[in-house]
Amino acid sequence: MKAMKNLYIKPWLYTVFAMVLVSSCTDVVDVELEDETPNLVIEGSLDWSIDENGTLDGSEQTITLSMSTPYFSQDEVTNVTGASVVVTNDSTGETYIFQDQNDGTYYTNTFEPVENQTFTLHVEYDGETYEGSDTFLPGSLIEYYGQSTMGGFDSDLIEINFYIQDDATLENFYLEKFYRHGDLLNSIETFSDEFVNGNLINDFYEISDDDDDDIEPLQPGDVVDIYLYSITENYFNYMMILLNQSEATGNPFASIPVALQGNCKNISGGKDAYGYFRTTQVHKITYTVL
Amino acid sequence: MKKLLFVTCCLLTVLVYGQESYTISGSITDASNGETVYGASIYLEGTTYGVTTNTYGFYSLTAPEGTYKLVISYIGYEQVSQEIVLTADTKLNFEIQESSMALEEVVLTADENEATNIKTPQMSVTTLKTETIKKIPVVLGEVDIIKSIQLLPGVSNAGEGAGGFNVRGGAADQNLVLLDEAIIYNTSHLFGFFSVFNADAIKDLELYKGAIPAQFGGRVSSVLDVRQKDGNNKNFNLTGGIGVVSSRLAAEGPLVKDKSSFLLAGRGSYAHLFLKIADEPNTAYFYDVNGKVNYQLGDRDKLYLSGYYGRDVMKIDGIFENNYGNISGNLRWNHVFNDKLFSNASLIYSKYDYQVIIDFVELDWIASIDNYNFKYDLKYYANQNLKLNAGISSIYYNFNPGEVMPTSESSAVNYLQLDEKRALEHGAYISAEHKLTDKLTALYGLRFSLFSRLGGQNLNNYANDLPVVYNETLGVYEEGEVLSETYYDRGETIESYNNFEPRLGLSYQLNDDTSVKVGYSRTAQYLHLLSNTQAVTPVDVWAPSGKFIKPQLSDQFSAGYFRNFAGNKYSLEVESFYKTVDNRIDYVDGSDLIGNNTIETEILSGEARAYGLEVLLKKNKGNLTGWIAYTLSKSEQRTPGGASGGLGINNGNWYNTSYDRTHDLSVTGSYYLSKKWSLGANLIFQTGRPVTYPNGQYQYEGISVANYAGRNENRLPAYHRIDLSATYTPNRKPDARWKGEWVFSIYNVYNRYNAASITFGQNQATGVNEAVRTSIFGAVPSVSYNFKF
Repeated sequence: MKAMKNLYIKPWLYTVFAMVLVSSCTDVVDVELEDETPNLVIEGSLDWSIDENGTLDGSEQTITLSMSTPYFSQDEVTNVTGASVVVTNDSTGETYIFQDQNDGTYYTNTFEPVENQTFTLHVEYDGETYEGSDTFLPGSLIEYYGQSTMGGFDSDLIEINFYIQDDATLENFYLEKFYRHGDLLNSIETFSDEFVNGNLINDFYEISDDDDDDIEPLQPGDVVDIYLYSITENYFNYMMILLNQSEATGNPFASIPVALQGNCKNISGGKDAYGYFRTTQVHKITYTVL
Repeated sequence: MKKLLFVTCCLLTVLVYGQESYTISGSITDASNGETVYGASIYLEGTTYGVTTNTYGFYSLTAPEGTYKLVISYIGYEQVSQEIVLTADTKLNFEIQESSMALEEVVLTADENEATNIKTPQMSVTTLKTETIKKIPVVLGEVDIIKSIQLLPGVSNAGEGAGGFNVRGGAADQNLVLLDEAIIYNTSHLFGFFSVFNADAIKDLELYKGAIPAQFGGRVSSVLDVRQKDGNNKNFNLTGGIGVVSSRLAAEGPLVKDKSSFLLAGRGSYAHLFLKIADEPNTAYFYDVNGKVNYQLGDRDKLYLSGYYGRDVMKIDGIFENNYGNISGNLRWNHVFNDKLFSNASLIYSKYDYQVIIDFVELDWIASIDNYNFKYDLKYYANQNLKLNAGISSIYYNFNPGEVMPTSESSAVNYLQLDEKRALEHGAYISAEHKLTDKLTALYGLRFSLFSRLGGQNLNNYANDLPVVYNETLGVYEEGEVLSETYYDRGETIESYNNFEPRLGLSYQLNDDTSVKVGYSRTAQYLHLLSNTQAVTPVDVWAPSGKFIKPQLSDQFSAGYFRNFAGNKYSLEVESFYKTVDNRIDYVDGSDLIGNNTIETEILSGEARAYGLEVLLKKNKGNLTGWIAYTLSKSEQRTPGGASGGLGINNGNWYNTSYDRTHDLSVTGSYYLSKKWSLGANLIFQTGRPVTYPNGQYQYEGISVANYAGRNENRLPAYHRIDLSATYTPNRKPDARWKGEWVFSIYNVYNRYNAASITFGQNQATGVNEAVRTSIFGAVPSVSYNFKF
């Protein structure tokens, strides 16, 4: 299991309670589930890279459409082709048509992101129309970073430390994504500046040494990508629920899971699409563990 | 108001017809230790004149002039009888002898009191003595009051390893838990593995599941009234036990001969034991201390001082520390005005607090609730047909929902103090137990409660007075728009509520062994435990009603059939109930309750209802004693959007509460094999807890995301287990002071992995979705040694 610091206390407490449970044991069981009819999933993540010198070109963007599947299905994801995907700048009315790549992705290389500007996604598929909006907020940078062993959860393991300068004048919401090259899955965390407004926020990435899986802790030579996204409050709320629910495994103190409500509304009156249309600024660093 | 008039009229009628007669009064105590005896029967043989002692052992019995045989009987004690010539008011104290010299006699002797009391109109109540509880097999050998009451019909809990208990489909925060009258806010040690009640310090308990008497108020589901021992006033003695997870020791004895005695009991678990990750620097343990002293100030007055302190500590070195606990104290003054009027005044303090230290974030978090309570209760034994109770109570609450402190200069955490909240809760009641005819007895009363949320804090003013609004575009509930803030002065009342709470019980005796009873109660609850998790956790915060949260109001109707048969060898109790709760809060999707200064922006107000049928069949006598309890019930709630817009939680539809259990069967028995050996067994079967399972998945941001359907539409697999125990009492000389016993037990003998939860997620290594079951206890053998000296 990967473990990261979370500035939210609650999920933390629950994790620890779960750890403390006496002779508790966990095992994988078979559960019969009812399956709903497949529904459209929109992964509309428009990310605009920044670095120390400012924002970079954000003209190339991809949006992915797929269908939901039964929970335990291991079949390939059903790609959705033949949809119309358009993003509009709400102020100028400028539209950007995303071309169907016939593999479930829709692509453009002419997109023009604008800071503090709201954009609206418009998808037409199978006679239904879906719309969702989000805003590009100013980005934050990973100011500096390095590694240690004494910090983190386990003082025997390597963790990567990094620092973010929070803007005291704004209510900031962040999403962090970590990916170690070669791993199957990445890790995602969200946090807000609720308890740390205006401060230099330190955070770390450590992979715990868990006997239950084959995932090794960080080793010298590992290459890790760290992404810092500046996100809107609405998207933060969405991801908070998504992550809490996907990390609740084995936790008897978890909240009752709920159906996630994304922002891609079906304006034809049918079921809303799953997924989210989000616009962010992102700072990416790549770190090689020494 | 009409009800109030009715009550008053009834009272007057009876008082006017009071006859020329005399009163016998006094107290009943245990001859071996001087403990006052609650619930002993005192009656005049061959007549219908009889009473039972109150919680302080006091009785008052009025009868016409004449010669009688006065009989005192109480479970497990030798019956006492005495000829009396009643020609004047008489004061008579009795000491009754425990018939424990030969254990088998206790078991074999007819016990009037173990049988169901069919006469009293009080229904939906169970009284358990510690001795009964001690016979029940338990996990890890630790006698546990909270787990014992879960064997009764209508009582369940959220699952193994979860604190609290649920009564008749009610939430854990709807139980009023009292330890010597002090409110206990969290009943669990180590997340519910143990309860805060040390059986060595407890005399008895009473659980009201419905038809709650008018002297209790403040919670809508139940009252668990736990009373500590007073302390032996004859001899000094020690009791204790050594178990696999904890040990305990209690000392009691006289301080001033025949005037004063004390009790001091302590208990502690061994550290480390509870950690899977049991590295050296990590610990998890609890300890608690109970104390009590009493002093007899002459014939009419007695003082009691009792207290409790308990603490849980959990520490994961360098990462995390959590500690929490209750503290309570109570000073009581019993005063007997005359042979018919008994009074008690109490000054009570109690507090629950917790602290969380997260080392690597350099954060220290504390939160608490405390209260001061003054109570005054009167009991008037008007005549043979009428007993009156009246009293008042005032509680001052202080809530500290959280204070966050950085623990070092370099901490990135800012200091934060959430608004402290204050409130006053007053109650006044009058009630009567009134024998209307030979067969019909009524218990009726009225409680008036008044709750004031006091100032001393800021409150937001929201657009349209809506702290939560439905965002049509996103389809989610979110914070309302804050227009301004208002500061309320400490002297100011932000909001106040009052409620009349009528209580009524009727019992009609069909014959000597059979009765039917009906009950109705209305109760108001002004405090709410904020918890959006499936199980109560130590860091849940209590919040008072106020401008944004309305008090919960409950109406409960119950009806029952009660019968003793085969010469009181068996008792049958069948009860059905229906209850509704208004203003039950629930939480919007993704609500964050910890560290939130504006809780009102996370909640919607709804309603709850529960109904069911309970059957209890007890075997009271013989080598084999015990009971079978079965409950068929339904508990659900709904939370519409209301003024906030939208359909509400779960689209405004009814959904099962987490404590809905369709079937709940408990069988518990103890078998007296020989002087040396006795055996015990439990069998539990329960419908699985309602849960929410996914009905689909999709890929998003490289994660397999589960889509969840309607709330609590699925269920965990059924919960069942069998526990066994054997108690071995070695041979000992009859006059030896040291008495020891060994208790061997196995919890969950067939090692079933009962699911505490089933959660869904993606295997980190393979990326495949899986359902993961967490089970807390497999088979758990244990041994403990108990002694008395």
